[in-house]
Amino acid sequence: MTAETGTPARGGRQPALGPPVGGGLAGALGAEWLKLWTVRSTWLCLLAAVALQTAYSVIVGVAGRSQGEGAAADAANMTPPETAVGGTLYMSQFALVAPAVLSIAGEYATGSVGTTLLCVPVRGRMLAAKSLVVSLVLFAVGAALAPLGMLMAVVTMGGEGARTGSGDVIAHALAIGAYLALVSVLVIGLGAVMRSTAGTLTAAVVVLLVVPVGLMLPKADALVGVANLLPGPAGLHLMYGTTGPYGRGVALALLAAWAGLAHAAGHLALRRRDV
Amino acid sequence: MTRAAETRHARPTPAGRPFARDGDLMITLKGLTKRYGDTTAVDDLSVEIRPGRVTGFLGPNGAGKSTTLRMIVGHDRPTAGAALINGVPYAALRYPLREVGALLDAKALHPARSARHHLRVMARSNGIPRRRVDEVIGMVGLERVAARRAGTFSLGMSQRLGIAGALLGDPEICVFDEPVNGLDLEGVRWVRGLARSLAAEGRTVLISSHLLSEMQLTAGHLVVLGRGRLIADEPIETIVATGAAAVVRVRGPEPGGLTALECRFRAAGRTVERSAASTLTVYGATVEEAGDVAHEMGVRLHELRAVTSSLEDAYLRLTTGRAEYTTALPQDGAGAGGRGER
Repeated sequence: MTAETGTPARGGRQPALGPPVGGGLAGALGAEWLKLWTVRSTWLCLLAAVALQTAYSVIVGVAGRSQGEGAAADAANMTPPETAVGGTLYMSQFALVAPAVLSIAGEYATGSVGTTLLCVPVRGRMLAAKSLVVSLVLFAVGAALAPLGMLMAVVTMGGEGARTGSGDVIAHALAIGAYLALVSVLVIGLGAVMRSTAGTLTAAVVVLLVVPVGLMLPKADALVGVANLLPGPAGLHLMYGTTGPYGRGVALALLAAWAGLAHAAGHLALRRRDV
Repeated sequence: MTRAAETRHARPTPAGRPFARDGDLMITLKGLTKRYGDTTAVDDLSVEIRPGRVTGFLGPNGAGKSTTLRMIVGHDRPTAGAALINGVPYAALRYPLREVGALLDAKALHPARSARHHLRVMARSNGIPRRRVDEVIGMVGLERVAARRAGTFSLGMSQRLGIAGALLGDPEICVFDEPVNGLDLEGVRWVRGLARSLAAEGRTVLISSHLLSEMQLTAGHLVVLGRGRLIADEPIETIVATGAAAVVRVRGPEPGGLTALECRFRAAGRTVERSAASTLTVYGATVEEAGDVAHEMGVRLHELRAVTSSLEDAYLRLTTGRAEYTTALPQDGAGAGGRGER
């Protein structure tokens, strides 16, 4: 790979701009950050995520309160952290993964990928910057939504339901944040391969949901074992912490490996293909 | 001179590259080839686009112009050969927007993003200061709509925004694909002036266009493609001159004398058109020839001039039979009347 050139050539006339600064990965990161926040859809998706997370917690909380006197009721036995995980898993993650999908597939759909690659022609850098910015934002948002969901659960359950410690709260919040971050990296990698919004969503749903559910349906131990290695179940176990045959550490490593694989696939697709 | 001024006026030597000379400020295509399966879109194209003049990139539909431009900016990978900017591929430029300003597709925008934000994103990616965004918005006349979403723009406004993006980095090399598409007359004249002033500043300007009349007013040098191959790489005057057949218009007050001239030229095998009692058009003769013959025969003349061919005639002659996509409909005659060349 040729070494990058340094300062641009000058034709001998008075330049309109000062000596060059920035650019490279820093410039790419800054550009991706701006891209994310200068479209309305990002804000709407975040708003929707807050609403969905809160709604789930309220529903569970209300159900838990009314079930409180009964035995072994699902909602009442859900701790606030578990409620937060459920809220993310079943509701808010879809609103949060949407900006990740749009950040890559949307560029192809609108044709703006052409402009992006004029600005950042090193394709691996472009994909890395995009993945880094989106995943960090989703980590922060996910980790912040978790305590909100837990709070709403506690408030609406009004004292009924299982107790929880602060260590648990932090662990769950970080786990939820990590889940969203890694899923977004995976989805962006898929997006670079599929290039269309519908294709990316389909691939994401198939990889994260359809295949593991399909493998677990027959309830055969071997198949369930395989399913637990896939990114969807690994993410689930990461967030809950106690549901899987392995702990959070292994779950995190598994999900990260899948995300890395998808990113590598996207990187390869970007480098080999014409725009 | 202060240190800051020194930095501004000095010609820095970019790391890892030979000392930058004026001759470096160009686009070099070396044996550039692009094949899609069985189709060859660009075939062994070797040409240098030099600074200080507007180079027009011409060719019929499907000649490979857009494909070539995309390979220049690294969107498509060549099957063989190379497209180099100042000696290196586009992807190797550390500040690509500061060396090359490209307008390839005016609609390569996110419709939900405002024009100003679109330019800010571009500027941020290449370390270009924020004030430059407002400068280029002013240059292209989009101040009043800069906060509007790009999806609401007309084609003309999108073109202006695209040009703004191309000028953002104050680049030495400008590449425009159909820049006047969708612009009104004022816009067309503005782009013409812009291209010429950029070239006058010593930059390298490459414009791809279908509009021959516009190219004739804008370009100083032409690169003509046909079916992916280079047909011509010459100053515009040369192309017009060599493409033109020798045509002479003769006008005089003596109808009888002109008839005699007519017969004389016909006898010599030239085609002659008698458009009026006082006017003759002779094809295949030079002004000198006609003048000498008229003098010899004693015919009085009031006008004797060469009919200059237009770029359109020359271009059609050059690209006859080289068009990828043609229609089956009969063509309007380009000057000599009757069916056009095919």
